[in-house]
Amino acid sequence: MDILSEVVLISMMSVALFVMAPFLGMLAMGIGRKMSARMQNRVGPPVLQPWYDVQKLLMKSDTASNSLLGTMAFAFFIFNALAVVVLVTLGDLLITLVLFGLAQLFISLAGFAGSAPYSHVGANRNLLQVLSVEPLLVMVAIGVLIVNGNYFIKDLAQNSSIILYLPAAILVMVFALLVWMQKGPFDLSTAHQEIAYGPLVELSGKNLALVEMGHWFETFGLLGIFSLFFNTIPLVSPVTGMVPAVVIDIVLKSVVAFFGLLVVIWIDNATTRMAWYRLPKFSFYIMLPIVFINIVVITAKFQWGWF
Amino acid sequence: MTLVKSPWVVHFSGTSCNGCDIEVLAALTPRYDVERFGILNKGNPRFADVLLVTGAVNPRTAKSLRNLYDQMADPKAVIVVGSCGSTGGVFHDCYNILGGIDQVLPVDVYVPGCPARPEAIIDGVVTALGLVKAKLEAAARGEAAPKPEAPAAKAAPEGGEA
Repeated sequence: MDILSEVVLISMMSVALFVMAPFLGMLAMGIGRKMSARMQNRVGPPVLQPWYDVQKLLMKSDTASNSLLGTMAFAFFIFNALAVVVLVTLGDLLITLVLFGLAQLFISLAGFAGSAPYSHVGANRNLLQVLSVEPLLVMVAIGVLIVNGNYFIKDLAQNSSIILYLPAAILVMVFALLVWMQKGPFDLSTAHQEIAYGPLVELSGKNLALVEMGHWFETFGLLGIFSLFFNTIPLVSPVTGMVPAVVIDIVLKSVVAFFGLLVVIWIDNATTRMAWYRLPKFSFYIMLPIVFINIVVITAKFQWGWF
Repeated sequence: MTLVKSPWVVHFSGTSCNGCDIEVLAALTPRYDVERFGILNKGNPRFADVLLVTGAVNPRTAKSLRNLYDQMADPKAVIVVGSCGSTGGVFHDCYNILGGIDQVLPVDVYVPGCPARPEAIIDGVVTALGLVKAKLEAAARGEAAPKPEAPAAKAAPEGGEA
């Protein structure tokens, strides 16, 4: 395969993935709700329920007290979509992670644009969530930099031993999924029975639909990054050739994403909501040292050449 | 019509004895599992399509109820659950009771019972959405919407506490 046809193939795959991304994210959220229901011995909603919800929200009228709410909801949607663009074009991991964090900031701004007290409480908690998760994600990106020499997802996707060097990335990604998909014990900002959806409390109709669709991209992106740490292409492609290897890799990544989602939903169902101050404590006292030790070990191997 | 597939409910208790409220909560349990119809209990009027009210109203709760209803995005429906909410029930001639919810809001569906059964509540939500659908279709055809009966003479005093 010459260089040109490879470029065409990769760009076609990127476009196809980007078109499918919101649908796959929506499916993941629907499957998550079904899993949750089955764990509680319920039948649960149809898998396409998030689709029905958004279709309904799009035909509802708008009750926003402040036009900024709509702008912020749109920004949340756009930045999540941009992060997915960087992800599916196999771009820069660091930029993807920072864009996901930036999108969350717009949820906080939507909260501050509202006038309800719950909206402000939720916005502050959302900032706390970003503060707790983003340093860990950046540490993981630094780990990838140390192992691969760059931040490119293209190289990350071809490194089949990354999971052996960076096992802490799995913990961090599960933690990030819990926090940003608003699952227990870290669903602080939209704690629905406590502060009635926090920063989203004044959103309705189309604006709420935009936030929901932003979550589709976000779910796809985070599960995608999670599954990026499990690669088989370099192991399989010498035996089968490139195209079957990519197909096998995509199947493996789907299975990995499914089990990641299962773990997230299980933790959600098995735990109760933490008090807000426990989230940064958990992040900085437990998660950060684990990732730091991991980074020190791989630095000793790749930078200092100790073993 | 996706509204029927994803009705989000906000639940308000007027002056209920909590008998009906417990039946509403029972509908969320694995035995009845309303989420299988896409029905979710959202604690936020701006998200909700259906206002589900239990208990009769007094002047104080009438104010809050009106407030909740005004915050809901159109199209919306109101369901009354239980005897008290429908007519005032055994409390109908108490000095502080205005009567059923229909004294304050345009009610779409009455679910009778003391307390109402969870099956009846689920049926009420689905019926209400059918009515909303009919209203929307009528509006699309340019006809006058089939309105439920307007609030009667004994309405809540505007913005005041009696």
